Amino acid sequence: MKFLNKITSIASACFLTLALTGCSDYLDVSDEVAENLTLDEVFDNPNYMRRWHGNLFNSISEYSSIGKNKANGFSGVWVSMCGETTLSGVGMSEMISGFTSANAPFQQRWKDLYQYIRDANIFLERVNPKGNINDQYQLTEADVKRMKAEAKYLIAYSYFSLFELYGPVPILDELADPEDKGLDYARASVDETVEYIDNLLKEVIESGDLPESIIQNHSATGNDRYNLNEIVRPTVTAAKALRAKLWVYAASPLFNGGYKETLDVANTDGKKIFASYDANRWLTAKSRLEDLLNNAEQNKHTLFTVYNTDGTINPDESVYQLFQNYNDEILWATGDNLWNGSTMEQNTNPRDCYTGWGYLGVSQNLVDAFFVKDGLTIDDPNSMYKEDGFTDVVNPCNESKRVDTNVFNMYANREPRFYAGVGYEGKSWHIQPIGRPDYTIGFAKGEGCDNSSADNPRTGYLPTKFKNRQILFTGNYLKAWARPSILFRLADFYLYYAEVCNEIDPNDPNIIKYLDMVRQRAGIPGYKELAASGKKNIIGNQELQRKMIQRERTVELFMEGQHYFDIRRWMICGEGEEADQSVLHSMNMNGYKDQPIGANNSFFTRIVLENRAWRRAMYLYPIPQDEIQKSRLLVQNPLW
Amino acid sequence: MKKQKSIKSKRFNYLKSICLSSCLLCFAGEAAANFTENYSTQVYFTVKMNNKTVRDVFSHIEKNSEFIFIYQGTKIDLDRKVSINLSDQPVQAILHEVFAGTNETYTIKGRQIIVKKAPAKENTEVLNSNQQKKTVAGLLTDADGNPVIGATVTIKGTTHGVTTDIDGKYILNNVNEGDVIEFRYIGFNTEEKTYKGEASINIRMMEASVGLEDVVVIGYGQQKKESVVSSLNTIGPAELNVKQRNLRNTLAGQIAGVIAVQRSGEPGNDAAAFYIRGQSSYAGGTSALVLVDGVPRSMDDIDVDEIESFTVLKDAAATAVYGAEGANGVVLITSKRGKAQKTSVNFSAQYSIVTPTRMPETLNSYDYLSLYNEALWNDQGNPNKEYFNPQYTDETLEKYRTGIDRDLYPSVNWYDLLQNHTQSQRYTVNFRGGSEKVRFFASGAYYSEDGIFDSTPKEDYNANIGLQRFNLRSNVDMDLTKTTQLSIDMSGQYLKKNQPGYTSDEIFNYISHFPVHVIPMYYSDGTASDHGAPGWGVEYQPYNMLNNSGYNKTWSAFLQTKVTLKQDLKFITEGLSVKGSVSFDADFYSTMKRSKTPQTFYALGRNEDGSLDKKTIKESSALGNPAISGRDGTKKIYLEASLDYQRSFNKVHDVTGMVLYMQKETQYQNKDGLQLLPYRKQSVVARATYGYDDRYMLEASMGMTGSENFAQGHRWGIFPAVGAAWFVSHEKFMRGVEDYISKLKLRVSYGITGNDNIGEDTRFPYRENINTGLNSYSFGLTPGANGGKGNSPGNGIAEGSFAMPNLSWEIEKKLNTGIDLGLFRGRVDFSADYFYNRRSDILLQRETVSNVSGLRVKPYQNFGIVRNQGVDANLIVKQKVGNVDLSARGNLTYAKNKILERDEIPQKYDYQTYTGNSIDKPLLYIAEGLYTPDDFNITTNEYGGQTYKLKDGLPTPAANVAPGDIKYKDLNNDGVIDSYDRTYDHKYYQATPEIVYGFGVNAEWKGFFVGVFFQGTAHTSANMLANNYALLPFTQGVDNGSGRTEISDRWLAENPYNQDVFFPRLHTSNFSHNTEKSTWWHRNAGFLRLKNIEIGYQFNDKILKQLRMKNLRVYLQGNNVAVWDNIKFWDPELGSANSGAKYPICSTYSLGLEVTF
Repeated sequence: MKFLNKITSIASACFLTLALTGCSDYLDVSDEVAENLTLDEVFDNPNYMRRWHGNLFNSISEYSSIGKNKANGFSGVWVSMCGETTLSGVGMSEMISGFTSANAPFQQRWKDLYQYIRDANIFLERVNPKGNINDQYQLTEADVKRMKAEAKYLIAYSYFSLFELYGPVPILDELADPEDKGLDYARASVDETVEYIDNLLKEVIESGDLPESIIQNHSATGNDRYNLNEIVRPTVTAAKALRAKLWVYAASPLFNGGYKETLDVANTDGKKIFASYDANRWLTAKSRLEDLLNNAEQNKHTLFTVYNTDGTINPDESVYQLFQNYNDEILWATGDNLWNGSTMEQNTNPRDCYTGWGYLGVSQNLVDAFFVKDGLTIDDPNSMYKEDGFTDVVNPCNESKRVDTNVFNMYANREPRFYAGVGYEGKSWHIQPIGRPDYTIGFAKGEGCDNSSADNPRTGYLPTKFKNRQILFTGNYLKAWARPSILFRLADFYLYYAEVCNEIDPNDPNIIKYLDMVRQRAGIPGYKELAASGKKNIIGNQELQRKMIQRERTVELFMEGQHYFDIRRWMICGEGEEADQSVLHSMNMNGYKDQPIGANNSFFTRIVLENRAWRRAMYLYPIPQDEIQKSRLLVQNPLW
Repeated sequence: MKKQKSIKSKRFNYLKSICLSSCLLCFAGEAAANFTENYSTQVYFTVKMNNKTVRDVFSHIEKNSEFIFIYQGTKIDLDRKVSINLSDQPVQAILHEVFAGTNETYTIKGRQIIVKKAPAKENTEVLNSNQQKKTVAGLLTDADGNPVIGATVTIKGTTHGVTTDIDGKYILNNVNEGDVIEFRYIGFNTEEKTYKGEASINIRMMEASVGLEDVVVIGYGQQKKESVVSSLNTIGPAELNVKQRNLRNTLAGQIAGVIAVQRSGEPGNDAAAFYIRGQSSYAGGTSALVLVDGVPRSMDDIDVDEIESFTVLKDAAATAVYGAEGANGVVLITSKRGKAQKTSVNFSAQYSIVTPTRMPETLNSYDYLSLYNEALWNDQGNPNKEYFNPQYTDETLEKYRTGIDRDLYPSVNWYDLLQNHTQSQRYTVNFRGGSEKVRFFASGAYYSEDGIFDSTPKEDYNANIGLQRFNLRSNVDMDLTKTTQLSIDMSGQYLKKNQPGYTSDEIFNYISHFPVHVIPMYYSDGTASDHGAPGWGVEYQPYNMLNNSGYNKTWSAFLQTKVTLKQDLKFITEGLSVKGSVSFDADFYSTMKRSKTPQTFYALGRNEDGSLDKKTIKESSALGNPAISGRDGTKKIYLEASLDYQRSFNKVHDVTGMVLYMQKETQYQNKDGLQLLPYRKQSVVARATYGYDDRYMLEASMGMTGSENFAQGHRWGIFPAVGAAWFVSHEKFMRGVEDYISKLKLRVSYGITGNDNIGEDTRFPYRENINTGLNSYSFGLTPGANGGKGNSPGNGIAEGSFAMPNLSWEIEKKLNTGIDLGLFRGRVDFSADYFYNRRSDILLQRETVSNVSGLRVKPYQNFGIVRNQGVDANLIVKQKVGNVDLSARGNLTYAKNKILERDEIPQKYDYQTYTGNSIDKPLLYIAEGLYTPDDFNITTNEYGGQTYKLKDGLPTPAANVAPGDIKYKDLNNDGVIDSYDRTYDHKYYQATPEIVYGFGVNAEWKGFFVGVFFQGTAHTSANMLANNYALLPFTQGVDNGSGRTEISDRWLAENPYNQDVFFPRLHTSNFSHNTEKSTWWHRNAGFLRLKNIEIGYQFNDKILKQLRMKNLRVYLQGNNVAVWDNIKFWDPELGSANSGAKYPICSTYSLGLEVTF
């Protein structure tokens, strides 16, 4: 029985030990990570504060990713959504089969921007100077001031990014408390939204905490001229530009009483969140723009222009090199550009020219928007435009300015921006593939970029804007070229200024002055010249001037991410209107190039590529339906 | 075991207790009494003891032999002094000496010596005065004709009886005509015969209603079956006779209360979704706690032959002891253990042929491309054919059709990469036996299965899919002393898997969608082919994936060990015992990969010399060196200590009690961050039961669980439960109807259980956390050729989750009422339960927090209520018709849940409110059919192409629709089809079935047996269009997919009014209007399956004796033989299943053999 007793005592001892010791700390597993980072610790450490600050810049929308590689609301999906370009295979299926508020694509802006706004507000509340001179991450008083101004700028920018897509949105004046059971927010009105952003920017500008410009060496040229290490950090100019852009939007028809259906939109408490037309908004926009233009002039911003040795403008090089290096036209840019690597270059490279997917296409609608070299539109009876035959066309993008023979004359005599922006049937490549000096791009059946592969542009065009002409995906040729992705540039704001002046007083000479500055750089006659030559006179005619300003923006800012928002704020998307979104035309890629122009089986026939499911509701993007469904206060945009 | 109070015999009580205790030890009711009758003649003793106590003598004998003494009654005087001086005498001689002159006597049964008072005088007189009584002999067999060994044969109302020998034979003397002879054996119904003077009475004993056991496994213990008040079901090896690799797939439809559906047929990844009584949470965990031999372990790789019983605990009375882990039900699996018997060796072998039940079929390239032309024609408004410019001209199509040049115009059936059949083999051998002191069960199993791919690698290596599994188990129980038992269990599984460079699911996926018209499997010149534009969905080419991408070898080892020490504490008080267990498990796996890429080409055309003009798509890389492509390891430590009490007072008061402490820990090797920390849990458990006279039973239990996942002060919770049962048929007033109602028992239980399982990824949700791994943003740029962005401050930092110190587990209140009914002396056995479960405080991330708040992580809260109620029932019927033994069984589970509260605000339209519906019920558009030309104002252009404008008054959808597109119902009558027209108010169900049932019939005739078993589900729906890409052609473009032959059932422009089609109007791209989740694509996914059919022969005793075997059985078994359903395109059990692009479920035909020596 001894043995038995032993066992019994061992067992009971075990039992007791387990029961007693176990309960005390066995479950304190998480103590092991008790020293994990807390919010207080983040804001006690200069490096962590810098990383928090750096994260806020992820709120920036950047439009260089036009394909499928980065398809979200912060990228170039809007370029395809508005039919400037198309995608391979399924195309922009969202616009073909339409969408509802529940399955609307690219809704990242809504959720993510509010997160960045919260992050920025926490930053403003807590950031403080830290570290001493020996600390490489030291945050000085001045650093903190600048970073705070930047955080405010990014809050303003985030609200603007919401505003341009959704219209007026909820404004948060205090940090949400996660323990709060409510956490529900109503939309502010257009006026409140605009005013909030405007005040924030005013504060930023007046604080004096932002640098005026990133020019670091006024006497230098090229990259040395700028502090490119910080190109994305906003300047006073950038803040003024954003402020001006904000008011142009606020004054535009979409937000200024032009969208009748919005006038009834009211919050649950009855408050109307849109307002009827107010001409003063145009005046404010004008003064904000003038403030910017003065500032830009002071900081030596000019339209980027390349001159020939004889002092004349070289428009072909101007509109090409503008996007290849940093320059004085840029008001704000980021280094985060999908064209920097091979991605976008290959997406737009012909399949039969070494490595290329060639799946982005330019719509016929946009091809037709480009001017003729005489400065007229293609439908102008006075223009030299024809589409009835074939002819020789000099390719200004080609390294040896090759004369391409037998080119459809639709592509002859067009403006430099067309040649820089569009690759068309029969156009030589900028560097001819080795051993193929007569290589031209072909989209018709049986040619190198035809629709025998799913990766084809579907429209009969490849975009060539932004492409670096030294790149060829073979041998020792350049494979990548890093370039800034431009967020704001002067030409954009010149055109805003022309537009705003026209809405206030059609006889304002600044309208034609600024419009013509952009045209001149692009190598086409200005309206002053056209009027003088008697070919076309729009001067003083508000309606015509408005149309031509719109057309100029369409061409000048092609693929730069602005068109989607422009045509909406102008409200010209309807069937038969200027930027008809219901139909997308192209060349006939099921046709052959040896068939007569316009024939059913000819490549050179305009066809309807996509009947797009445009609806008036799409003037404002739908607020994500699941947000509406989990909120008592949030109201949806009209017609959704 | 039914108590017969009329029996006064101590001898009988002794026998009963022997049987009972052996059952307790072995967990089974099989013959425990394989006594070696002549042991007593083999051992000889030399005893020289002077003036020692009887106890000392016995102890000497025990020490020097395998004999153990058992005392019947308490009045044996062990302290009496005796003197013995004997050399080399059998035990009888010694005992004779010891008991000489006392009124005590002994009997020797095998190695047991039973000491008791001599029979009372009157009995002796009776025996003496009936010398003329007759002797009856006979044989007891079970339903299969096997001898029943160790059964008791007694004359009812007396203590006079014998037990059957190893051949099941008995000889009972002194029987009077008119005596009632009773035949009893555990696990069988007691039979009675009135003696009419026959010389022999042979009895075929019927197995007791459900299972063999009179003792069932319950949470942290066992219980007499009759005392059970909770709702649980057990099946034993007999019902688990479908010997598939994965246990879970075998269980569907077998046990009332289990909802199991197999969602893939891929070897190794085919485990069924498994719920006990359905789901009662839409947020947290819903998977049952699985315990193998009391320790949390996976049930996936246990060989069926190792399993003694499989038990599901369903109600609170059964699961409350598992505290915060009991809410989802508990599965208890016990492995077989040794028995004191002559070692039996069991060998089984099985060979199976495996064939997919339904395999998708793709269109050939001619049909597929013609279909694209049709889609293009549709998109252009069906112009007159002479004006239509097809993308694929007749000339091109003809080349595809005739196969004139398969390099340039291929038509590949990628399914040719699959074999029609695969095979599997399974062998097990086990040894079971032991002495009274040491008992063992040892088993080994081997299983192998080939994959379905037809791999012929280009180099000398094996890339075929294959799986081999080895199982080993050894369970040993040792009696260290008469009251101390040590058990050592070890088991291990070793798996080897060989596969190509990609998983079979990946390869299968590419096979099912890779275009058939772009490239051949390989070019006729022997070079490897590749898609010319290897974009999304066609990055890999199936033939190369299989044959040209190297291979993976995975080995996994799972090791389980457990040591248990059990000490009887009857020296403190009768019925008390203490037990302690330690278990250590270790699992590892490691995958070695050798990757390879062939140089691949795409043929652009033919050169002038006729050779292929190819461009290189991928550069080659040679078969690489072995590299690790995946590994992980897990350790589990489990400790348990308990105090048990079990005793009967005055034969009518049955009392048991248990207090238990448990702690466990799981830790992973290859995880991230917080998941590297151990997962721990502690419990203190208590249970008390009281039974009165086997008629009234009461039970109270409690689990107190501590979970490390919550904040201090919120870690511990108490989960109590009570249950009661009334054994009506044991009442006096039921006497006389026993032949009709042999069992009637009513049960009820109520209790609280918990759930703290919110997924392994969410650790310590109460803690604040900062996210330091966000994308870094570069402030700067270096323009130019070698430039790029730069000047990043490092990874972004932002808020993570918030401190939520009040979080705690989910609570589920469970009510259960049940009835157990046995009719006609066990011929019909029925039980049914109704349950009502209410889960509250569901641990979830708040859903109504507007994103405007900017919170990156939605705060966790205990929120939400789900009700889950239903019934489960079980029926067994046995009947003998002539020489044929028939048995039928069936079971049904119905579990319907309803979300009572969810973080949801009232929706604009009631029909969109999720609250009030079942979990995962889909939100659907109601399809009213297809649009017809009558719905449109049609304008026709000069080429005959039509454009369609919906007529006024018809609701407008977001898309530009045309005839043949799906027409949705405008539920809110606002003239627009939009997201407000989706509803929960429709006839379709969620994917998890609400009803699962199974039924089968077995027949046996002279050793031949036949069985069929059907299994089915109902109240379940599938979305046929779960993956557009897999079912609809052209959604990713013509070159990035293939078409399925079912597409022939589609809308046609030539017959625009025909609505009776499966596929709506064809489009050349993804037309999301038609692919919305709608009633058009939903189907009732219920099915009825002929799950199992078996024919076999059991050799009879005569032959067995000649072969010197105890058992020999051969059988032919078919599994998944046929299925009836509405899905048709693929096996209905796969459900939505990626729209059929899923490794198919297979049917299996097996030939098997079982031998026992």
